[in-house]
Amino acid sequence: MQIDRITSEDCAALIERAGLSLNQAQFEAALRSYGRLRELAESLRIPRNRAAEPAHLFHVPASPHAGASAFAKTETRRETGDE
Amino acid sequence: MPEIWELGLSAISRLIGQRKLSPVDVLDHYLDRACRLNPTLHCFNTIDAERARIEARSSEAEMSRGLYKGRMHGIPFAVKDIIDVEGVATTNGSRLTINEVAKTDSAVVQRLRAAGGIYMGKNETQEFAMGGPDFSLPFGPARNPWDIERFTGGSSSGSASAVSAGAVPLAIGTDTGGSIRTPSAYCGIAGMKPTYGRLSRRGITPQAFSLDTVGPMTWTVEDNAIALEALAGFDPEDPSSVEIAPQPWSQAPALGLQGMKIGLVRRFHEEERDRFSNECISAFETAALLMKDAGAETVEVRLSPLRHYFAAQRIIMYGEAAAIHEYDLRHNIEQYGPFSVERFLPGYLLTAVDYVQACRRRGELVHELAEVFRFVDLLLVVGALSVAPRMKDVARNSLVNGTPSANAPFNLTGSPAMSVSAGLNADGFPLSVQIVGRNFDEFSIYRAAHVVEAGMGCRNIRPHAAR
Repeated sequence: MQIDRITSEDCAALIERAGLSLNQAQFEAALRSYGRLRELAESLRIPRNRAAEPAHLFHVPASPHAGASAFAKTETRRETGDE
Repeated sequence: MPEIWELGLSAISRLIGQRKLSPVDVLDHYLDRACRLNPTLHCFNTIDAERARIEARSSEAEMSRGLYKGRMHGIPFAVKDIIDVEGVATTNGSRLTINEVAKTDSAVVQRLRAAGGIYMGKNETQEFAMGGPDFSLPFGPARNPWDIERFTGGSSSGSASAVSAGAVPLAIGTDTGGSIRTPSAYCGIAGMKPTYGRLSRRGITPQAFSLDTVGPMTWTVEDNAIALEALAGFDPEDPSSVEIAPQPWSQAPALGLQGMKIGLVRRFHEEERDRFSNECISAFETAALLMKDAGAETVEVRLSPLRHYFAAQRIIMYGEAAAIHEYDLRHNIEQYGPFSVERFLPGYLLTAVDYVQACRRRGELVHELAEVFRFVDLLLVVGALSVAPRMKDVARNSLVNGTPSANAPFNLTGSPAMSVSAGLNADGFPLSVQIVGRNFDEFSIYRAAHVVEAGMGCRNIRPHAAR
């Protein structure tokens, strides 16, 4: 698959993977937008260190006190057979 | 003697506060205008006259008892039809949700009502804030009051049209890639996209979670600042909401620009020189001179190319929007208008890697802008690409294939950014510039925006359709 173009067959595969069912006009619209979309997406690929991950981080929420955790309570119930 | 609508929010508010104008008279005046103009402009999906009259009478009774809630008390407002109002359908301008009645008010409507504002109706929106001027849908498209054959810009189309025509003094819009600022530019009004997290988005249909912002649209900068004071506030029920003190925004316009340093972002339009109209670039240069005359220091600032900001914003927007609409596009695609389908489709052609690369680029560009703001207080950026185009020339694929928008970078960075009127071109259509601030410094933006607006001297000229 070339970056700036896509065959009808390949585009159909992408649409099917997405779970969409398009009519002919919608399918042609997808086909038409693909080249420009790839151009935008490729412009994001600038040389950068493998470890450079300034934006896509997961912020772990503070855990509640163990006594307040529903999970901990469930385990306790199981241990005591109190279900 | 000017009519009530010609006074604008600020003067009306002052007169209501002095008990020289009645909230009931103000509302009746705007309701009359809205009902008269709507068949031409299609700027309202709903006009809720009965409920508004009850609220206006209640406001009047409160003031008679000496209870004055502040500058928004007795001021009518409307909201884009992706914003929930209790008991009213949030249609999103779509057949899909035309009967989905909201159970509670959105946070912004709650805040405006608490400040004494009077809900008047729902403004037309492009479908799910993503579609275009689509004649196949049940509402709109809204028409531009400066020329009803021209595009209002989107997606807060009805909000801009209604304010510009004087059918309501305040409308609330949303902005994911320029949806407050482009309609404000095309319709010649003041539109603020506050910092991401400044206003709660609870009760607003999302378009792209990490980019969506809600903000006020008004005729003048001062009107806008008054509205923001009522709208802003922390909301623990919106995960993006930031707990930060408000600023006395309505005091900003009086302060001028002495001692401020303005960065001029010429690079954005110079690199896309053939795509920005000469008159829009002239408006940028005039605004720069006005700021300098007002005592600001101006310096050239070089950011990464506009295309880099635009690409990251678009990939994130497409990916998030596609995720939000995945179920309905799989099962109810026939309910969407053709503009929307075409504009949602790119999200399904992207890869997970594309989305992550856009997020990485976003972090780098956010850092770049933060570095720039160590040396300047504000940025002046070109506004819309041109004056409002003819509606028939707006392409369905313009979101992906069109010229990079100079609005989109500041959704990507979360920065506060305002579109401010910069006069009219030779044919009498509105021009604009964009002023961008440090995160959570909407105050400085209002200072500069007022200088530009006053210097251009165009607030007494209203569109033909308003007459």
